[in-house]
Amino acid sequence: MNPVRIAMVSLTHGHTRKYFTTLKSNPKLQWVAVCAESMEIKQRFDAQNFGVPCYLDDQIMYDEHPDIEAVVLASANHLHLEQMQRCAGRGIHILSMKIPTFDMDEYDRMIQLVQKTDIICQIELELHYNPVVDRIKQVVASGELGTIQSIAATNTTLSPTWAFPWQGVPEYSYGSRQPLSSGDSRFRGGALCDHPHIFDLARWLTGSDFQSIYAQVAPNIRPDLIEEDMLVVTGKMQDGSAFLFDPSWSRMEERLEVPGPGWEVYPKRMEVDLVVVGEKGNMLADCFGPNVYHNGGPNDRYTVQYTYFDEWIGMMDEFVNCIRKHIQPKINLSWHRRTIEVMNACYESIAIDNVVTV
Amino acid sequence: MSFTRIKSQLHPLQQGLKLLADKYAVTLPTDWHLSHSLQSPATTRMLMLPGWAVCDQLSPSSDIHPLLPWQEERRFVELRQIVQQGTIEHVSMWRSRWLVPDGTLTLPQAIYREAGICQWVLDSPATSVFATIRGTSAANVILRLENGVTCGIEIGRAPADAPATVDRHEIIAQRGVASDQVVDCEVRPSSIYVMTDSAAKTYTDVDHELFGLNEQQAAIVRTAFTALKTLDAFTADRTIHEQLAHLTALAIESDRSQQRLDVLTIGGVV
Repeated sequence: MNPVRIAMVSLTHGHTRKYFTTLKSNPKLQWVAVCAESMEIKQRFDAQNFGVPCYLDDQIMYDEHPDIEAVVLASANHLHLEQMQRCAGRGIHILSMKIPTFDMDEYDRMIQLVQKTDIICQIELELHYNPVVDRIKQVVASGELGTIQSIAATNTTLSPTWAFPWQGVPEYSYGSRQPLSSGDSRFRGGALCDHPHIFDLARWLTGSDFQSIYAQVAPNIRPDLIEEDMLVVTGKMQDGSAFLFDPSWSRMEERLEVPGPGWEVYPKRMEVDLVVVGEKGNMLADCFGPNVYHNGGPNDRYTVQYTYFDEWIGMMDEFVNCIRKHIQPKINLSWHRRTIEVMNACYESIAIDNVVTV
Repeated sequence: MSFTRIKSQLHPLQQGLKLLADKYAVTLPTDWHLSHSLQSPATTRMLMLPGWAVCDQLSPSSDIHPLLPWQEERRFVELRQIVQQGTIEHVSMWRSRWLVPDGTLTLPQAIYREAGICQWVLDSPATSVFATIRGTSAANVILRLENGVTCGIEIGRAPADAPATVDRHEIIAQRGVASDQVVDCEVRPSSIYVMTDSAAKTYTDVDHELFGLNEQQAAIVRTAFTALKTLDAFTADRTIHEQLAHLTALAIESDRSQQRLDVLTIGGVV
């Protein structure tokens, strides 16, 4: 199998650095080029000496490297459609970040674009390639727990807005400036927009679809953010099972411009925990634990140092396989549409402070 | 393709190694065997196994390749980085506690492993050893490393079906403490707990590519794979094995004589 010749654009997404290692080391990929969104980001990339040319205009990059077969769109959400259009026009396959767009008309145009140009488009929901999630799926599928009655899940992190400023700008994160509710000075685009995984996992694990949603925002723990950073979501699936999700930015951070050691104030910067209550038993899962721990530099705070994070290997394997066999991946635009729709329903529920049927 | 989906008659460790070799286009030698122990098919020309399985052999025969699996176990990789990158500074002491489930490793094998881990994480060979050993039940070892760090190693036997894993490593420094066990816990947590009417089950899966292998098995496979990619690694591993086998024998001798014993310097080991 020939390596897939791949590029990256923007380099402004929080997961960008994780791709650098994968693109460099995976023999199924040939890392051809990148396009940075600004000179500052280009300088940062060039300083890492990957030996990969870095451009400031993706059209120029594509013109210079007509052999590019696939692109990782590591960019702000509001740029995804136009970047997809440029890729599709050249028949370039796409790995999209976890939020293609919150605008459902725009989302449908993306689906049509991919179908019309017959390219592969995978959505980056890397938890599907996490070994703990592998086991969760296996235990649930075994029937050992019986029918799922409830799923409680957290996807809590620090706020990435200081390192990736677009996530703190409603127009760039959510796609438009929409108040959370009348009388609330905050806008859509915060923590909820950063955490689709648990909505997706609930669909996978139950094999059911969402029926109703009630979401509530709490007071921000970062009062200067203009988006929500704390919220909780509950509701029911069509199979009658209940769920409770916490997709908050509840882990306080140092306001670093470049993520690195000392970023976290709370010891663990990111958690995905699940509790599944079944008819016959329960399952508790920590998708990113256990780890190792220290209270050393730079801030002498108790800190979790992760031992996980190989999700990108499995995810890129699937992307390559789908490109070479020309099949759509399991997490494709059409599958993921419902998750985005339900996340929008959370915002609707917040706006009316009541349950929304989805 | 994930590990568990491979249809094969191979031993799980061999399946895992073959999967990685096929995926990353690494040529496997002919007639190789990857195992926990010295047992292997008669046709084997190359036997790869954790070094502790031959901890009583200073110089195993040339067809045996002792592996040092802790070098690919992620918690130890991270602890080593925490030391090497200066996240904690001026290390004073290493402390480890392992209650070894019956039917897995013997006390000498456990001493080999724990000494190997602390020397590698702290990047310094032992210069002396003192040990107190009680039959096949417990071994307490104090090592002094070349860099001055003192290492207290506590090993005991545990029932084969012990409900929790006690396997803890801690590094205490002037600036900071690092550990593979979270504060305020006596046992290492698992990633998943399943509680039904039958006995509770726990899982700790650490490797998506090798899903189905436990943490230790995955480390053995990864170490064999790394060694196969750079065959020079076998020579280096062998040198470290010789030192660890020597150190293990010294620990037993130290208990017998109740003397602190010096460890021979074997070039460039840790």
